[in-house]
Amino acid sequence: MHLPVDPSQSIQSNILSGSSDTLVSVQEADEATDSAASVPVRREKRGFTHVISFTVGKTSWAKWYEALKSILPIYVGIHLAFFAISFFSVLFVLSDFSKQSMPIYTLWQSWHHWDTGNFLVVAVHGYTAPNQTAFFPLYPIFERGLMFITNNPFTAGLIISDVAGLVMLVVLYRLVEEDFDAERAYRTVLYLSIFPTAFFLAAAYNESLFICFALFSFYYMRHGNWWLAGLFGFLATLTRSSGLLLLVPFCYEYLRQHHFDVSQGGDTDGRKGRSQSTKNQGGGKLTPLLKRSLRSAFQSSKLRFDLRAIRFDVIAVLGMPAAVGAFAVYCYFQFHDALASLHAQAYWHPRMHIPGEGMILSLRLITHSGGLLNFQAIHNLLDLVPDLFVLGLIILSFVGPWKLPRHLWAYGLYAAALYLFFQLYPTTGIFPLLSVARYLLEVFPAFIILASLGKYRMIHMSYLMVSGATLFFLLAQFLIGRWVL
Amino acid sequence: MDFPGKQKSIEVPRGGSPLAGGCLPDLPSSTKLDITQTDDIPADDTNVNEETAKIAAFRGNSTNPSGERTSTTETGNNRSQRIRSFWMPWYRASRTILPIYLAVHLAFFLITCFAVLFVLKDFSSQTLNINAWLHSWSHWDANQYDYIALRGYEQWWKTVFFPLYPLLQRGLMIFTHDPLFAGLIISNVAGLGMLTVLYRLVEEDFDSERAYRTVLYLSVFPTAFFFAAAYTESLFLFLALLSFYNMRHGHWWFAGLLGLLAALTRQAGLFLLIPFYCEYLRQRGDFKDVLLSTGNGIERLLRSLLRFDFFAGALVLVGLGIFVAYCYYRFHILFPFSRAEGLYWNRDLHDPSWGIMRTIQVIAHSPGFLSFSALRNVLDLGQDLFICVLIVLSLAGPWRFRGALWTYAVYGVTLYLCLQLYPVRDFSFPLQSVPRYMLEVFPAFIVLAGIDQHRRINLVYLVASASLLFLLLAQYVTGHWIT
Repeated sequence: MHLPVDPSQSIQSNILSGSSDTLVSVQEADEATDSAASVPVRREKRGFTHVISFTVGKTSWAKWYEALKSILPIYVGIHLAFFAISFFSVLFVLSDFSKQSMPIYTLWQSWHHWDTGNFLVVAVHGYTAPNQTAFFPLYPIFERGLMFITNNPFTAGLIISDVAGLVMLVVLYRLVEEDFDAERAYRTVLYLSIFPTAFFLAAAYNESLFICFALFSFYYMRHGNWWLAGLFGFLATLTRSSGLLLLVPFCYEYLRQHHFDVSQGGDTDGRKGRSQSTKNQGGGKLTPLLKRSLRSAFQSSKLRFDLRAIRFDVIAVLGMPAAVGAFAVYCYFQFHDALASLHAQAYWHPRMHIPGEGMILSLRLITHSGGLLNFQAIHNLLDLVPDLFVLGLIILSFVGPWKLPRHLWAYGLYAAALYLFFQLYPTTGIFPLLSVARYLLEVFPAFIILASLGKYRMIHMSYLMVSGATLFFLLAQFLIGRWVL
Repeated sequence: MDFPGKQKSIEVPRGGSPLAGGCLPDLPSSTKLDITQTDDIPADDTNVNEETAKIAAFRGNSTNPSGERTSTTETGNNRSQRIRSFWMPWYRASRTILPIYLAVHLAFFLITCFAVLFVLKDFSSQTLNINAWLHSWSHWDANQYDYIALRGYEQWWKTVFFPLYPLLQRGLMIFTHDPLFAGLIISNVAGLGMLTVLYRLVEEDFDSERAYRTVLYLSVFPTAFFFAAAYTESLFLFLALLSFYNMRHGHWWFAGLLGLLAALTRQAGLFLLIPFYCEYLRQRGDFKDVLLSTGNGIERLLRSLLRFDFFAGALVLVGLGIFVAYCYYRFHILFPFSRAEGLYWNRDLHDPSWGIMRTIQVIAHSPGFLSFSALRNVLDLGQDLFICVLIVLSLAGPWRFRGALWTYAVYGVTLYLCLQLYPVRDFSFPLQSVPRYMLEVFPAFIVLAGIDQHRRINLVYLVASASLLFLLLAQYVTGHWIT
């Protein structure tokens, strides 16, 4: 892999790939003849000393602060809107001109619905029944921890969710800003915050905590900071079982950054991806592209794997399985059933389906509901449409003019893995895609693709208005205790 | 905060003469030139009338390279070019605002669909009748207009609903048969026209970015769904904005005519008189000599003002006069609508702050903070005060209307104050419907668009306001009391 790299070329590739750390990598490219520098790995990290020096660095704090300042208007705006809706949704409960008044605690108690209660029971009493283990432990543990201050597990849950929601947006902004650009980062954050189910990020659900940890893990993967990536992966998996899928981007990033090079001719990944995407701007050239990449993958004489590139820090990959293992051990001691959480999940999602079957089931239920203006059809549409929308975005992350360059495939792979995982277990009954719209919040790479599409005002405005309308509508429903999961 | 490069072109009144307004295109590069000339001519000409204005227009346009002067004799290619250059900016403007318009309407459509879930019980297998669903937009005042469109004014107290909108509904009923759908079509077409005119107006006087934001902010104001409902709001604002646009261009007769129509749509149309004469004074008034007290200043000022098109503003009054005459003929009551406001709709004349003060009292005496009366009054008051703050900012502070743009400020202030004059008398909802009237105060939204040079306020307003918009719309289509 010792390839002479023309510094000017590497500058170009870095500028093209939109990295904000261009200067750093250019300097590195000047110093080192090793091509590793021009691959958008920012810093080579080995061992804990680097971990510490990286996190404590002064400039990095300034960057986090900048990111916080950029996303704060979105966060404040959305929360103001949530607050307003909490107030005025009372109008749907009271009849017109009634003299009745709701007590003031309705404002926050109206957020106490559905799964919130399940987490609270676990937080207060611990796992008492095996089917509770479907709810992973970290969020209730945090609630329990904060209860010492708030005395009320529900308030604790809200605080955790909202703080995690803020941190999550900051990390997302930083991540996208570094790998793409600031404009896209801002839009990604905006689009995620206004997704129809985004109010769950502010409710006492574990979504925001999970996404926060997953994003941190992802961020450190991109930085090649494997120990922290593993640690956050561990925490994410302890929050939700879908954290296990962080293994996919972890492995991809690890191999990519350690020169497991499948591209032909030893070209740097970043530039390769970019030049391909510019060549195929026209679209419709999917088949030749696919053929070419397959050929390059299989026929390349450069296809090799340097075992020495694997370092001790690969052990960090065990973070995610370790979380599952730890919980399984707990379940074994508590209920004598190591797979209790799996069995509990089976209560809601009895059997595995082919991905897409849930959608077809849902579509059939819509068409057979006898008119679109009934409960069954509208709720199924509310599940199905976001699902298809995100599917479209994930497809666009691999093909088409907005596809991700090769060195950023970790995003696409993670999104695809998560998405498939959510499709595998449709629920029985009249809502096959139950809660999937909420899980889709976790598929953050889809919002990055949407942010690229958002350059067109038509798409931008339509998404904001339509999604915003749905969000505020669903929130109003949730707050007055209607069935929204 | 300044508008560099804009200030100069603002100082100069645009569009030379009434004649130019009708058939000659507004060429951005040449307008400035020909206007300075048209303004000069009456100054040394003694015979000030319609004729000179025409000559002025021709003389001014003779400098154009495209040969506007000979255009009256030439036909064909030249004419089509002129038509195109006239419509092109409008087309561009409508295309720019189309994303907002479509997105907002898509959202309205979705809310209308989803609102079914508020009506049906959870897990009920009931399906809502499609006809009932279509009529979920027909509530409150929309029904009144439907009734008038169908049967005319049968009771004298219904004359508070001015005639142009029901007349158009009646006209369109030939095709739709249902007054509600006729009304919806009128409102939504006028809504698109309204946003286009607003965009053009702000784009010319400020800049395109600000114009876009103004349109966006107006479209997501919490009561903005009335633009899409069968209410007069969008038609009125369309006519008022077009009138205002023609005033800014110095096309007095067009401005007057549109003012007439606006006055026939809503009572508030009468207030177009104020910007009309402000703008007239600003563009025509020759204060130089009066201020410097040299020469026969007063005489020249009067001569510059008293031209035939001075009376174009009176058309607004004519509009009101037509309706008053009709009412007298029909019910033998002079001004039945102002009497009906007091007797039937419980609205009395009070000083502008009365409604606000009263609302605060009502909130304080409500059964609790989360009661119907408190929440609705908070909504009314919040929107009213929000616009109030913007109106104050339009007068003072870094975002005020500067220089030649003071007409906006004058119109905004008078309209705002006058809309406060008639609060509801009884001790319940004093500012009832006022948030809807606030949509008409478009200068406030121009100020709002000017405030955010950064996107901070932008986003907070957008999200918070849109959330209220969608909530209120859901309330409206489920038949709750929203007026």
